[in-house]
Amino acid sequence: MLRWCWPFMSSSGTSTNRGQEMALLIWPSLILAAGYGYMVTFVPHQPGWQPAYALALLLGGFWGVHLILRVTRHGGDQFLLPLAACLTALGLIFLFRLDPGLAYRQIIWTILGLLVLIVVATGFRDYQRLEQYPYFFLSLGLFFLFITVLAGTRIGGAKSWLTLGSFRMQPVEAVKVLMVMYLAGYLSDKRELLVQGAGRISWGPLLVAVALAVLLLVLQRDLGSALILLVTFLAMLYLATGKLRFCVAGGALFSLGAVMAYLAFPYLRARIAVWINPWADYTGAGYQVVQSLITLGSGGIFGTGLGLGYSQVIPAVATDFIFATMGEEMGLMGSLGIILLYLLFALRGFRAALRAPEEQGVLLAGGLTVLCTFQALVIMAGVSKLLPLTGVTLPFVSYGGSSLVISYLLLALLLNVSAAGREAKP
Amino acid sequence: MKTGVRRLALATGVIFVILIVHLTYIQAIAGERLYLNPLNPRLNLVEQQTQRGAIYDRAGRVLARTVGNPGQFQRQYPYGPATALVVGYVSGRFGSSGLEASRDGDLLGLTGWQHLLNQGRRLMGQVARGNDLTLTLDAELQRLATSLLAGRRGAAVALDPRTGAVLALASSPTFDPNRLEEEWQRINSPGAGSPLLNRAIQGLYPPGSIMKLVTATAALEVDPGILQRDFYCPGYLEVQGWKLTCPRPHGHLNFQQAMMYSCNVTFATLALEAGADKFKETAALYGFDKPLKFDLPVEESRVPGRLNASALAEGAIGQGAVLATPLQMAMVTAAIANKGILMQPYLVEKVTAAGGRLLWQAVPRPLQVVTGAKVATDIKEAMVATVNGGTATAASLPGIQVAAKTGSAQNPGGEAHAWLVAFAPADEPRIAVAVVVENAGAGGVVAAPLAREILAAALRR
Ligand SMILES: [Zn+2]
Repeated sequence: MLRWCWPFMSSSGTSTNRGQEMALLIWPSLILAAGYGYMVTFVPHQPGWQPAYALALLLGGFWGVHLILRVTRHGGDQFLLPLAACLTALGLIFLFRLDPGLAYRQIIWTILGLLVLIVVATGFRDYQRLEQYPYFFLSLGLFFLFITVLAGTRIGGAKSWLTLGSFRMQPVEAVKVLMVMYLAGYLSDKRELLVQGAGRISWGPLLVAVALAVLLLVLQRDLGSALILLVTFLAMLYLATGKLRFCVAGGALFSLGAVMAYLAFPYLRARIAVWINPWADYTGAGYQVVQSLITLGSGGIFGTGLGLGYSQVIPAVATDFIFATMGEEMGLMGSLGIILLYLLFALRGFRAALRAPEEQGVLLAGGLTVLCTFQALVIMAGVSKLLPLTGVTLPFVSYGGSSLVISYLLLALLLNVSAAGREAKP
Repeated sequence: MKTGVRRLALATGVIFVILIVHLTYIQAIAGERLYLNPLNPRLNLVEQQTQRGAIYDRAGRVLARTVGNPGQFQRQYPYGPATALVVGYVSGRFGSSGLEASRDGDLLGLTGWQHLLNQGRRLMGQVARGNDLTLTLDAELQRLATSLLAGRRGAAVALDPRTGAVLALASSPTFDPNRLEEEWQRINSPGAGSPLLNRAIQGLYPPGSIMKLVTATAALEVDPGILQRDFYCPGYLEVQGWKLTCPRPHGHLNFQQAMMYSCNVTFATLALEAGADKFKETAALYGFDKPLKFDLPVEESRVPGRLNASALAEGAIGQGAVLATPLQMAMVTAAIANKGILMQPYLVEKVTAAGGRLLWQAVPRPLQVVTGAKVATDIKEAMVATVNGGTATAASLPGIQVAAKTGSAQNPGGEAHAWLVAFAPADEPRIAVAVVVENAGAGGVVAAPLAREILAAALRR
């Protein structure tokens, strides 16, 4: 037991043959094999796709990435890829159980995500090169947000989709990572000035950029992403300045903004009312949350078993509510397992930040870790009514190409920062 | 900068721990309750694969049973409308109500270990079998009470004051759960008088003069000397410019006579002497202003929060903003009958597994010591006098001493609601009843004969 735990706390080995990663990749492989067993045993055959090909493709994908990282002597953290692979494998199994068609598409997105991971992890290993142009990332991010606000399609409450023919994407996923990259570059550059309070010149662009991004997200009614972006910003500001009072001030500003938004937007008031008592309108606005709570409760401690739950009654179950499905069919044990996977992911991400050789690395890894884990937290807390429900995806798990590909991009950046940390060590 | 990272990691850990605790609560502790929520669509699936348990009355008479084969199960209610508002119904189309809803988990065998056992059976394609309920209800008494109320709106509650067992819980109008499909439209039409509402536990009525039992308790606790006092009723009492009246001037009278003739002036005076706090406190001991744990959802009876002098005088005679369910007033009566000790009312006697194995049994337990035996006996004697020569003579039974109190509650809906509460035999009470008939006039005229029939039938058993 301890042998499997201690590496998460202590430092990893010194060699770059990625032995731990190889050992740990056995777990997602076993999960995938179990999923394959479930597919061929319980689910009627789908024409056009062979479960065996799907299994081979996924195993090949994850192990292929491992081999490439090994061959290129990538020094990145060895735990992040297996953790992400576990989450994606579990997500695929539950997607398959909910809707095999979605699962097959998600497999393609997984492969695409892994390709992005390889390209970024090998081609842009020197992440500092990326960080020389913060305004480029900012402009790109804001551009995405603007066109979404202007030309976006509203799907399920939030107007956060761009439609190009039959192809749909959610630019907001990319925007969040772009903002972190901008903030990492800008904050590491200006941190001295910010701490000394040397003026408006430094604070101005920062606050305007973040406020604009948040405002655009609120206009799209994507409150979850707005909240995640704000929290990530405050966390990075804290990392850069080391001053809690900036975050307190930021938090106060945010609360003020939230109160004003609460008064200004009726849909926000409705959302809060549903959070406080979803049972009051259990056939209407509260339906999703009520059914999600009943789904989680029906799972109990040990769960109903894969495929034996009844979570398909929840709208958007494959994207925002997939955690409820997992909680029902794997029970409390399974949902705690998922939470622990994210917690371990966060610990490894923070560890990469801790070991980064310079400020940009600390900020980038810290920001990306907060971004990913806080997003997971927001949706897991949302479906269990700990926080008001906001429609964001569960990173690495939920159905959705944009979310999955960007999650793997984020993983690649974390790998690069952690590799830099290792290489800088004597 | 590095300390910043460590602190962020710590904060993340703390937040995750909160999430873990919350999910443990939702899934492990609240799990069964959420699962058994009527809004859970899984229950409909289970319903089709489970032979729902039967419901019996105290003598083993069938109140609800399931016949047929898996897939075509049919639920039958032999006592039909008489027990409809207690037993309730279960229907794929119209949902569920009554015990069929509140004891769904037991009836479908979904609680505790039974859940795992039955889940296993269902997985193996066998028919799972729910648990049976045995009630404290006396089906024949329930049927009598329902037929006495037929054609009127009202309710009748009968309790065993020694245990709190509910013997009858009748409400009118009612409906036939065997013919739900045909009757649904009529049931929900505006003129039907809400037959789905169980007036005995969810109807809130001004209790009228029945409330004087509570007032008397408060007054006797404050000053037992009032038993010897001489009161004078000029027919009215002015409180803060508000005039409270009696139907006629009662002149000189003692405590017992004030109860016999239901003198408003005397009881308003007694309440003003005892004070608002004492009155509210006594009402709370009887069960007002707090939720009652019961097998069916009970509306909370209430006394207004802040009572000025005129509101107190009004409340003392059960008018104004004081509202009570018939069950609440039956509890008041039962507590007096049981020497001041209020027993927790209960409806389900036991739960048995399909083979007859006992899974759970109710244990009678005191809910509250309301007052001492002396005060209870004093009030009982006044109630006996009320039957023997006061407003409740119509409730008397040959050979058995009955104790009773009448009420005629003024209300905005028209004629007064007729109330009567009673228990018998006065020396060793075995049954306490509360009857209310909406807009029917004087309690002693309309409600008393009904209560009398119920008492007589119950004591004949
Ligand atoms: Zn009088």
